[in-house]
Amino acid sequence: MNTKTIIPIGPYHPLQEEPELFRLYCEGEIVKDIEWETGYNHRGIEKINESKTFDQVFFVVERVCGICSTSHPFAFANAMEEIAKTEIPDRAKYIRTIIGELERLHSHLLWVGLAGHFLGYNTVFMWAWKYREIVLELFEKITGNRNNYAMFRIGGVRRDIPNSYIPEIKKLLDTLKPKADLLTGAVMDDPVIHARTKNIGILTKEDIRNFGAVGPTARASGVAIDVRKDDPYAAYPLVNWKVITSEGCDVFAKAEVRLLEIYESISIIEQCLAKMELLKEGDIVTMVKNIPEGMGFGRAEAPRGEVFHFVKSDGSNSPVRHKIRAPSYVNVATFKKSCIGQTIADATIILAAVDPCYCCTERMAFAYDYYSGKRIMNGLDLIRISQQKTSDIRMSL
Amino acid sequence: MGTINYDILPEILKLNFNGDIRRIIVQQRKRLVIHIRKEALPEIANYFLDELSYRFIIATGMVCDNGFEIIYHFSDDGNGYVINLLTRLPEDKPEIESLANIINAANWIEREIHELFGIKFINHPNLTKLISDGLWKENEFPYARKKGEKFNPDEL
Repeated sequence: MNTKTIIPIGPYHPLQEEPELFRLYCEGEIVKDIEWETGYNHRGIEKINESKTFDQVFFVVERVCGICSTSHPFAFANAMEEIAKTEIPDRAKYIRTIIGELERLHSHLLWVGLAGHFLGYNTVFMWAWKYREIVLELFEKITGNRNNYAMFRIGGVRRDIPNSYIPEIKKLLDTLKPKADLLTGAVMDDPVIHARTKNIGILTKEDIRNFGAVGPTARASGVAIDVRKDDPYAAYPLVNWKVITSEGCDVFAKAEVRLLEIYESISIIEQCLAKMELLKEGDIVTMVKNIPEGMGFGRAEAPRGEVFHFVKSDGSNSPVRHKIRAPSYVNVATFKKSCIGQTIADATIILAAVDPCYCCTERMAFAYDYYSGKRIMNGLDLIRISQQKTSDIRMSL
Repeated sequence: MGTINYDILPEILKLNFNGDIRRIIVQQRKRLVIHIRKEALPEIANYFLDELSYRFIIATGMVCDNGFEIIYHFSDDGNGYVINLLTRLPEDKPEIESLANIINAANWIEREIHELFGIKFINHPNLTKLISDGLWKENEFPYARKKGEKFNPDEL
């Protein structure tokens, strides 16, 4: 008799920082099939944007994802500037690139920490998150926010980075380098991490093509796709850097790609800072008066891969249609391939290896009672329940 | 990666798919929108995916006058081009052949478009709801609204 055991992971599970349900169909220790339920984070952002003006959309798309909160405005700005046929000032290009790369640094450090945590290697987790603070401090200094930086607008950026800040930014970046060495050394040399991640969760080039996977997930299988190189935007064609790839195809290769990208990002930021010093302060925006009718296809390389924004404009001040494709949407689907045939213990790190971000993958939340068809909750109901509960507690005291 | 000369792409397409291509619009530099007949979608998509090794990015469903539009976005990673196949579907019978059997990346987005717009994808391996898990009313498609109808979250 062929009996399978179902192991559910989620929707609320300590392994995951966001809600998502995976069902592993196992025979003994081996995962034979996987199914998932999504939708716990769907917020209807695409539809909401149709009722916002183009300027407001920036603040909404920034909240598509908490971790890569610049890549969505980046792609949206690229799409809008395609429609408006606008060229942005060089200084704005450098500032955008610096913000984008700082975000990659903090996202990759966050992932290294989480990966360590999933493997039961909590020292890596503590280190990585501690050193990530340096990057967040930099963000706080430059933008005033640790996350959701609100730096982008159509035609440029909202705030300048004054030249007087540059020495201190460089100093902080210098303190990050030895920490990156430490982390890379710890991950690349550790026999336990090798044993847990090598030859685990293999994705071949053919799988990458079939699932349309992007970013470090694709680059770790030797597919050298990177929007920054392929379809250059902002200041990426103005600085020297290389696309990191690995032929390993396994979880270890994904870690390797991300760790080496940390060095590339630091190098890109340093080059941008050096070039910015030569430019006039304050020249950060090209004013755009009207958005003409048309379609824009904006792309940006987020820490997890290509973000794609499609915007259709009819000449008014808000989009007719705004489609957002986050990288996790295609990367998460690769589990169907990478988890099968692996043990349950390895499934956790394989799920984590693509750095899944469910906020990105889904974008609404409304609930209906399945039988009566009645809406169960809205914001006011929640407030009412919360107030009711507080008053009940007060009464019982 | 595709090694195609984009100056002659319109001629190549017209030669291969005469009659199926309605219009080719160069939207911006490196961005092409190709209007095609919906019956020819699998054949043309296959040409881009298999012969030119393009990557499937995503598809976008849209409401337009008298029906729906679906735009399939493909990326030529070697050259940085985005090629978009635009198909129109009538309002009374929104049906189109699924691409999920050709490329796995189309699987989820077709389910999503089906759920949000009510468009049917013929021969899709698993055309169930992706986002709401059946918690929305049947035959209620939140994105399938006419132009000018404003979105009101309380109404849903």
